[in-house]
Amino acid sequence: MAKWGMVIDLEKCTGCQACTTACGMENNRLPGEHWQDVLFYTDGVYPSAKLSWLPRPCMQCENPSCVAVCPTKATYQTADGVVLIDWNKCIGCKYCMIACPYGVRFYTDAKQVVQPDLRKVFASDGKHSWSPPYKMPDAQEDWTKGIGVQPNGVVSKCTFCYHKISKAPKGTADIDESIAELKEFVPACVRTCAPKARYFGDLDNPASQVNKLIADKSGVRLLDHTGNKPKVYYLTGAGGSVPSTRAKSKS
Amino acid sequence: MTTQTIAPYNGAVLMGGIAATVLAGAAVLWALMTEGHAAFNSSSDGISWGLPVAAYVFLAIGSTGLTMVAALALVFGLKGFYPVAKRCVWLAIAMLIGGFASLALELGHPFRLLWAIPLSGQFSSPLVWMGIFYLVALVAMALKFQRLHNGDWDSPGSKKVGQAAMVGEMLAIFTMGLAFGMMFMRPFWYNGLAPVNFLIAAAVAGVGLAILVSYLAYGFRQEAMPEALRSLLSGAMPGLFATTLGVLLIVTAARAITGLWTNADGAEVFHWTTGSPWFHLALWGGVVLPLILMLSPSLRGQANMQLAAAALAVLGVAIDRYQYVIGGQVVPLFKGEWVPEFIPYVPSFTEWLVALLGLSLAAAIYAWGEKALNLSDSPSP
Repeated sequence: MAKWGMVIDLEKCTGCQACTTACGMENNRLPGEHWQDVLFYTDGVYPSAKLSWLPRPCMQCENPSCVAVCPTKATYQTADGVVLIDWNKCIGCKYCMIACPYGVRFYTDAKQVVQPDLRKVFASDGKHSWSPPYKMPDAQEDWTKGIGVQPNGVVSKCTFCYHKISKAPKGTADIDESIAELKEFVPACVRTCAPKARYFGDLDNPASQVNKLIADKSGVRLLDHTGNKPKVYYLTGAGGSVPSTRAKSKS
Repeated sequence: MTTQTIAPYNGAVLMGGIAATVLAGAAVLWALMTEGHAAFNSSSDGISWGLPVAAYVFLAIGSTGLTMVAALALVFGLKGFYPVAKRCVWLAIAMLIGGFASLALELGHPFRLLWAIPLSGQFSSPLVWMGIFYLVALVAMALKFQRLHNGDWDSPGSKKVGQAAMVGEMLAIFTMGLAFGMMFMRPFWYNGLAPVNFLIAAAVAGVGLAILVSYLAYGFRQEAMPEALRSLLSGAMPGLFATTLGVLLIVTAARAITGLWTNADGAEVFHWTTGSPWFHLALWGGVVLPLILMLSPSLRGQANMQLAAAALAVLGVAIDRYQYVIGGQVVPLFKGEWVPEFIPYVPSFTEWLVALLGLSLAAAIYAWGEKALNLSDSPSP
């Protein structure tokens, strides 16, 4: 069984937010509720000001605290290590949002960040929280995995595009968009990344490119001290860095 | 000995409680049906648990505290506390129901909870254990109250039910403390002694509430009280109150000083809390001043001083729990420049109504009990 993981090369990332947009379109996200986001950080003042950014999907932790706290097992981990939410079991207690160290979970039934509220513009059919004008085929919708247009009163998060990656041929080391026959299985954020800053593959396969990149370029994980063991690694190289604090820089 | 309750204000509490429950309940349901939880000011950008959760925590803490006070007589045999025991058990039940109402209105799917949690087999979540313990506590308290109402105060069976109620309530609030204290990603909460903090706050709230409702039941006049209750309020109760307040002061000071000293990422929230006037109102007005009043030999026995100390302490616990619940969330978790260093949060009108609903429902249930269930009853000597 594969253990899917992602590598993000911060030296290549331009902060263009194409990944955010692709994720939003692929997963029917409301504007402002980005399962995948690029966070910007500013530090210092002119002439020594610094702008940095950090692409941030769900870290798909190996020891996810969100799974442990969920009182209904609505949040669970698949055999291939992906953390998903069963929308049929979620009671909307939001304890997982409290327990996630990375702030990557979303409760749709809340005041919308971006106006106008698209839930009113594209009103709900009663079953979903809204009726997006463009959405994934109904056949792909699977509430037991938190895939599709989100219903009201539940929490959602990045699934690593589980509706795609779970269909990849067994034994695949890297789900890479440059391999024609694997293109359809590539997570939306990875496939759309213009500077090819993202890589997706099997962390348990020593021959995978993601493993080589982590080893060769000293991949690091966010808040490693929490023990959650994210399966998203960052390559900081000479030009990038991961933020040292959770909030914007301290004043 | 059975005494006659005067309770001149009980009718007003009952009618006010029912009116507020109906009006707030209707307004909240209307808001939830038309806007959903968008009527709340909590959001995915940081403050996931807002005022309704804080109200639940306060009501649950009060319930546990009252159970602890009642247990002094009903479990540990301190007969001096008999005059407040039955009233405390009933108010504990009422506050727990009020708390559940507040929590249910905050959940996305409160009815799904009824089957999804029991069927989950998810024992690593403190919320599951909290639910189990509260269920045990509520059932045991209802059974205990029934025993008391039937005059069975001290039979072995009655004592066992009382013990179950006390243990259930204390384990529930202990687990609630764990639910916050185990969150290592939130330094404001992360603390192995968080359950102790909750238990101490519960003790203060319990004693304060016991004093308040004792006076309320007798029209705020000591001379209208039976001798046994007067004796309790002039003797053991102020001493117990001072002791619990003293321990709470130590815990509050230790926590605040540690938080202000540390450079740990996320702990800057202690500067946010201690910079708030509400923190100082809760500390100086809700802990220090009542402690002084209850330590002073000349003041501790006076009715108005006891009432002031009790009201201030209960208000202080309420403010402190609000700051505790919100404070753990105000430092954002990886939101970049999209949100400020401290996330601003002011409860919406609907959230205030949810809190009011929880409090007024508890008040109405309590006042109905005062009217119909002879809460001043004590065992025959």
